[in-house]
Amino acid sequence: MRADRGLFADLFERSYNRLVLRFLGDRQTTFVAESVEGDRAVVQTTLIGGKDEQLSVEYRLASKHQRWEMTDVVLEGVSLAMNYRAQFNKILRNSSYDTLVRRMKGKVE
Amino acid sequence: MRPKSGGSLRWRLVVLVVMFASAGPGVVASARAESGLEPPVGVSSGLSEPLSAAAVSDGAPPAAATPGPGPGEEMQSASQVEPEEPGDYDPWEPFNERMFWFNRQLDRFIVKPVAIAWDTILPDEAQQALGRAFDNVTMPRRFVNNLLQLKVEGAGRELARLLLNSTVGIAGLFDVAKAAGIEPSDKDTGQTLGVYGVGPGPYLVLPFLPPLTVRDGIGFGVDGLLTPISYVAPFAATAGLKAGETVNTRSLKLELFEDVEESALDLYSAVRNGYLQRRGKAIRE
Repeated sequence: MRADRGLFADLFERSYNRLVLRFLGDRQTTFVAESVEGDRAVVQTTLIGGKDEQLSVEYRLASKHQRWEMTDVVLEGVSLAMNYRAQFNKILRNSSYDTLVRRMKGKVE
Repeated sequence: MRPKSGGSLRWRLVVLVVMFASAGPGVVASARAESGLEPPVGVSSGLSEPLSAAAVSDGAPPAAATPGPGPGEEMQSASQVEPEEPGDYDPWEPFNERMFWFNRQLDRFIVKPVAIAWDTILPDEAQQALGRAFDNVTMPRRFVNNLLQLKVEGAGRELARLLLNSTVGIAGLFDVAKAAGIEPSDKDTGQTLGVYGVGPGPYLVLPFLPPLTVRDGIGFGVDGLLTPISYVAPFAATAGLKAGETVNTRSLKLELFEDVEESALDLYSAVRNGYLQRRGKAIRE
């Protein structure tokens, strides 16, 4: 289970790279707002450029060990963590935990 | 063309939609009650843990973006924009999955190839201009639903946009209103029903249509009636317009769809959850 948590972190990072990070270079990011509540923070940004012109990207962060770590990314109102959780639930309901881990490994590798 | 609040327009325009929007609290509550499913402890608890792999800056408050003058309007605090988790309530899942598969084949063998050809022929600017013209035609839907949701200011902006963009903007091809600072206010009938407390009902996938809930399906039908061009134009012209709109929107989203498809472990539930999340947000705003 412990190792599988790392697997999810890899999967999440991979999706973030694919959906957002690889565009950061050639598109402009506009800072919209930030808010901090205790050890949680939200930074709202808009990615401008590309054919579709605008993509709202919201970073959810948590302060841990004296630094801010990303816990979730919300793209156009869709939380990646929640989206993955829904996919996990479905796979666990219809198949098995092993299937889930196998599919995650298939994506990450 | 796609301001923050206007993103929800697209969902009704595309045959296979990957990242769309909504569930009211009703769905979440009934999902918990009816499915009786406990979240898988080991996996989901991992989600709330910070991902060390994705750690960002140390110490200082987050600065993921280049600070600069933002659009600045309609700012909300973190707690207000907290996404709401849609439930797993999906009583028609076997039917929906078959329809989803059908729409996906339709997309793979017809819509996407046509959209790729379209994308090759038309420069991005032309695609965007056409997209704006299609949006311009559906103004009555946004206008009426702004009024029904008592967003008088939004209705006013929509009216001003129609007048400006249809004339100076040449049939809506150019968004001169936005350049003048008049942002669109995207509202639809499914959203209005949600604002008035109508629960979303079960999730529903139908052939040739984007993902829906029963409530949004009804709204979708009413929205069609709120597009007066369909009263005057012959059916074939309306259908042609719809097809053109679908292909154009799809070609603007070729890359995003591919990224989402590629990232998903289970595409059906990824699309469903994305749709429900976005619709929930559209209704709360």
